[in-house]
Amino acid sequence: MATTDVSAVQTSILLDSLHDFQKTFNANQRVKKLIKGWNRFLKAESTDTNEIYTVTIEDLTITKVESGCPRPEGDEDVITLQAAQETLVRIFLGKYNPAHALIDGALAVFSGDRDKVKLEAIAMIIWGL
Amino acid sequence: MPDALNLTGIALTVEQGKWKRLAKSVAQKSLAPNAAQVDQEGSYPRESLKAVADAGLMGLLIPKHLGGPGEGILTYAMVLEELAQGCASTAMVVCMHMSTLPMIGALAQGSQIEAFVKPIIEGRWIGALSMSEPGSGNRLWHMDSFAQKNDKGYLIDSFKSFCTSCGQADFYVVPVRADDKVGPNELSLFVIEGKDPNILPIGKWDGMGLRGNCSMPIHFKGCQVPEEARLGSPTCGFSMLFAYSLPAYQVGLATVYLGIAQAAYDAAVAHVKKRIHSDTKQSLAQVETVQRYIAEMKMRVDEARCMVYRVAQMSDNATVLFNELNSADLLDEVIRENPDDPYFIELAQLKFAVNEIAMEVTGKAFQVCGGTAYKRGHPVERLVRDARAGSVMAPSDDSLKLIVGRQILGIPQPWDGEQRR
Repeated sequence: MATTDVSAVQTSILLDSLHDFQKTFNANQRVKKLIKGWNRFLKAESTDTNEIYTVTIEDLTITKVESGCPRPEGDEDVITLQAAQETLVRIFLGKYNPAHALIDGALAVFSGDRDKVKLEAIAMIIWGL
Repeated sequence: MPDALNLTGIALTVEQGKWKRLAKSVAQKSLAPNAAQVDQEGSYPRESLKAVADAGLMGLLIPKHLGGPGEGILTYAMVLEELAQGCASTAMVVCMHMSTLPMIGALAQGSQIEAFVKPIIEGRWIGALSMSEPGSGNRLWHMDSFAQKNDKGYLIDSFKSFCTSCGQADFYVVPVRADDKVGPNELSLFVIEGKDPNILPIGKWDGMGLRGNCSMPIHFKGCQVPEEARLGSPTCGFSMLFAYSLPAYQVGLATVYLGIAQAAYDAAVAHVKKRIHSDTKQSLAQVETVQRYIAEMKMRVDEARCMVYRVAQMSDNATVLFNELNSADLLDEVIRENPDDPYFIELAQLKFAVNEIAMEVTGKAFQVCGGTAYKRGHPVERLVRDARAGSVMAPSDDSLKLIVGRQILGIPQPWDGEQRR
């Protein structure tokens, strides 16, 4: 059916961008310097397609990209990024500075202040944004 | 007219409100009464600076973990704006002092905290940033002088073209090349104490405006400093100046000109209300042309303040990011790769934008006050001259406009490639 097909296409776009992010992130030596001792779960929630994926950052590496979120509600190690699917895709492909997305009201981030700064610094290091 | 609706649009924190009120009180009680004399005599505003220091304002930008108030650039702008309304010369001295603090706060460690940070917090030390060199003019990122390592530490021989608080400061932060082999951007930062007998002020400051800030050439003629006088790593200077000094410097300069504009506007409003024509028995305020001038001045001062506060807030946000990168030892490489980041362009733009407003507003205040303001000693006459300093003070407005224009048009910046020379 058409609706199922669209959903499948949308899902793959966001998931693809996260895998792309995983490769870029893991290959960057500067990022490793930046995230020493910083283990987090990066949850991407698409507000228009209701997709949820979680990226696990562990021991200086993104070790996993999975559907849903393996952590309980309220876990302080979870950083949640909420935006439209297209916005999330552009952010994870380095085409939209997450700090700008936040200011533009296109992105909501639920995390501690230090984690927000860390994400901004990661974006700057990887994409020079 | 009282503010019936209190819609200023900016909600200060309790701490910010406290600092702003304190600065206003110091400006009114101590700075303003001395301002005319400082201007007439071209004397360093020692007494006014003591009042600022006694109020605990001199260490404003020193982080809390080093024992300072830990305030940011926005609070600093609010404080400096008040001081500048009282005495622009004093405010400029404070601006140059404050421009050294974020770097010192980010880099001081071990014995440097006791030696450099403590006297600043206690208000015993007033500092200056001594950068510009004859060879580079107002291209502040380019240094020719260099440090020479020896068994006692470092020998510094550096001639700086202009240095606020020249011969008066208790300490100078002096960027020079790390040694004679490295390029013009491979800078070390040294703290040289003012009591060093080999610091030679050149001539006497006799400027058109800002006559109290002792902005003369200075020769650090073979100053021998210990190892501990160097802040941070041997070549961190370029990135630390960009990340930590430039925001306080550029926002500070703009804020001094904002304060000048506000003071001129206030003086003009007071004058036109008070000046009564004997034939019509009406005040100048009744003249339509004057009303229009006053409205235009108000609009421009408000614009300037919005710009200053916006970039100051951006600077506080940027500082958090820079601290994060610095803690991971990544700041230097990131800054060197992004010296024309839009944030730095905002900083460049702010200075000339506000300075142009200050010149316009002081000019209109002058026009409104007429012959009264043409007389030597009138506050508006002084403010017109003070505002004029901004466009030529390094980096000059013309240099900054080139930087902004090149960034918008995608043309390489003057510093591109210099790091490789």
